[in-house]
Amino acid sequence: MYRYVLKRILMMIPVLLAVSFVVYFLMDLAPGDIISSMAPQDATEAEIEMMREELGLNGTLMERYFRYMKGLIKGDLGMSLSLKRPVAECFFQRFPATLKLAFASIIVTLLISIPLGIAAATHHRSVLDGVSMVTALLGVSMPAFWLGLLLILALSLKLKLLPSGGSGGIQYIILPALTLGAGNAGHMTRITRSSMLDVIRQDYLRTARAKGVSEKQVIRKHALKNALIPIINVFGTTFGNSLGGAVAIETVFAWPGVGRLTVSAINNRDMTLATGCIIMFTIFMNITMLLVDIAYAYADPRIKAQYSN
Amino acid sequence: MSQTENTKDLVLDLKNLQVRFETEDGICYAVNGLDLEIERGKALGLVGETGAGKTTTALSLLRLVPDPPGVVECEKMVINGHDMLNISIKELEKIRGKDISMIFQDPMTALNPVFTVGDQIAESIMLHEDVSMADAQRKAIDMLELVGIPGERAGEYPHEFSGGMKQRVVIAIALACHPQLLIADEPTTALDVTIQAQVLDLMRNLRQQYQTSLIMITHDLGIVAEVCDDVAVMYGGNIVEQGTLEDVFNHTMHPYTEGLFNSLPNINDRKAKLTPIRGLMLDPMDMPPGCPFAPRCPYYDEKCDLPQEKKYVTETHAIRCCAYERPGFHIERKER
Repeated sequence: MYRYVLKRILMMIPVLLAVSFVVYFLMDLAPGDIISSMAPQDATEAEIEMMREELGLNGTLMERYFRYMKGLIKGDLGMSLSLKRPVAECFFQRFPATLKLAFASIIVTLLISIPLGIAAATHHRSVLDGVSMVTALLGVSMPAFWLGLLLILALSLKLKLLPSGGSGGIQYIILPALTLGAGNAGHMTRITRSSMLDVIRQDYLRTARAKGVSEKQVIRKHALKNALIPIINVFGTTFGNSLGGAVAIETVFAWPGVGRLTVSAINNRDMTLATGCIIMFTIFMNITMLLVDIAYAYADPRIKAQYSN
Repeated sequence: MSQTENTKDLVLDLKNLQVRFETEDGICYAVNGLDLEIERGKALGLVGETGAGKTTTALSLLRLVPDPPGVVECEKMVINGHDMLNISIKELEKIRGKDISMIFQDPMTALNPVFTVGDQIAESIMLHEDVSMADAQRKAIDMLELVGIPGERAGEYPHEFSGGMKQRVVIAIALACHPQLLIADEPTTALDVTIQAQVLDLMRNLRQQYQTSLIMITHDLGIVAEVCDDVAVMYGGNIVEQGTLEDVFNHTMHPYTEGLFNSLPNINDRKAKLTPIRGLMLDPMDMPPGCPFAPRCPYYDEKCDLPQEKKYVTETHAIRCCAYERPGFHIERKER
């Protein structure tokens, strides 16, 4: 098991190299650079060249990339060109807000999707099943920003229950978490339902019933634990994705997360900040997926046995 | 028969059991008016080919026929003094595993892959006995050792056991609370012959130890001869012949039972051709009103198309066959 985890951590290195390479080069392909927006209108050619050197933007693309990678290997993400502060500092200043929203929204997702998915599966082909599947489809298809705007209209403008945006106390996180969580719940409900449907006709549930286990326990204990693998997988991916920040939702609710930071870095052609943010997302996503794989082992002893081999 | 009825100590008293599955393609009549009585401590062999309704009968005793599509109707179902037709779900859960339990056919799928075998046995004990978790675990280890599995393997998962050992775990679960009535649904079909003998020995010993009544569902007549006191032969969702082992094996009366015996391979003449029963198992969607075996029966006449009454030939031996109304009728068992 420990060897498996170590192997997975080492496997992150090539992934990070590839991601940094691709992002750095894609950013270079984008038209315009930060100098054109920073330099005064009447700057001379020499002045611009000086600025370039100051910001480390001189030399060929390869030279710049290797200079950047030298820092990265030492754990230095460099200075943000537009904010004039270390990239890591900019990122981690914004990251707690994103983390908060990710946790709050995944709780909303779980609270909606697990009970709804189980109910749909245990009442297969009933009205309840139909209603929950249509609701789930709605959740999957509805754009997050639109749902967010609807919620703002209803809950903050009309009913004046919650603030429409910004950050602060717990009341500020409710709407963005609801919007993000409800959107993700659609997919999660469908996975929970189909996974439970696979398990629900298994012989071992009949064995459990024959022992005298109550129907509630048969579903919650015996069936759910067997249905967990696909649910954990989607749960992990969803959570990992929301660690990258939800740009639309952060924008709608003026939430100070890393999603908006990244988008503004790209818009400003802030090479180092954009690349740094994306590298951080890659790391978080990898860690989340590793945790997902470890969670598999706890859900299913057969997978645990595979890891030890 | 009727004089002794009041004095009998019945573990199972079942009258006119009907089970049908209402599917989109039509109604499948799985069990049609079956009666069954089992005295305490006795073992009954329920024999018949695949699709005869043996497992469905067993599942309806536990009230585990999936509904929908299953519909169970019954005049009387009393198990160990409990009227199974008029009890709440809660009471039913107390009876399952305690008064009546079942060994399922396929050990590969009958165990939950994500719980240790010890936990799966202990769960049953926790549900029915007033014991602590630690005591239940200890009892589970005792049960494992009783079925011949080292107690220290209680912490292992089903995938770490072989098929025969899994079957023994299934048996340990079924026997954990010493049920009064045990249903064994082809407990040896999935096993090697050598393991079969072990499992049968085990069940016999356990039955002696705990005075458990047994319904042994099988299509293996050899197992019936070895384990059972009484035999019921099922065809087309009903019992066509029923009696003691001696009645059914040595004084066979029903043409279907005859066909079953005649189709056994002859151990004394290995070159002899097998004699199968001609025709196919009938389609349960299209049940004839008369004898279900009539289309395949070598002794068929028009009276077979009328509903068949259960008739006692001797005090213990009953058949559903009208052919014996013909003067001088007898069947032909092959000599061995």
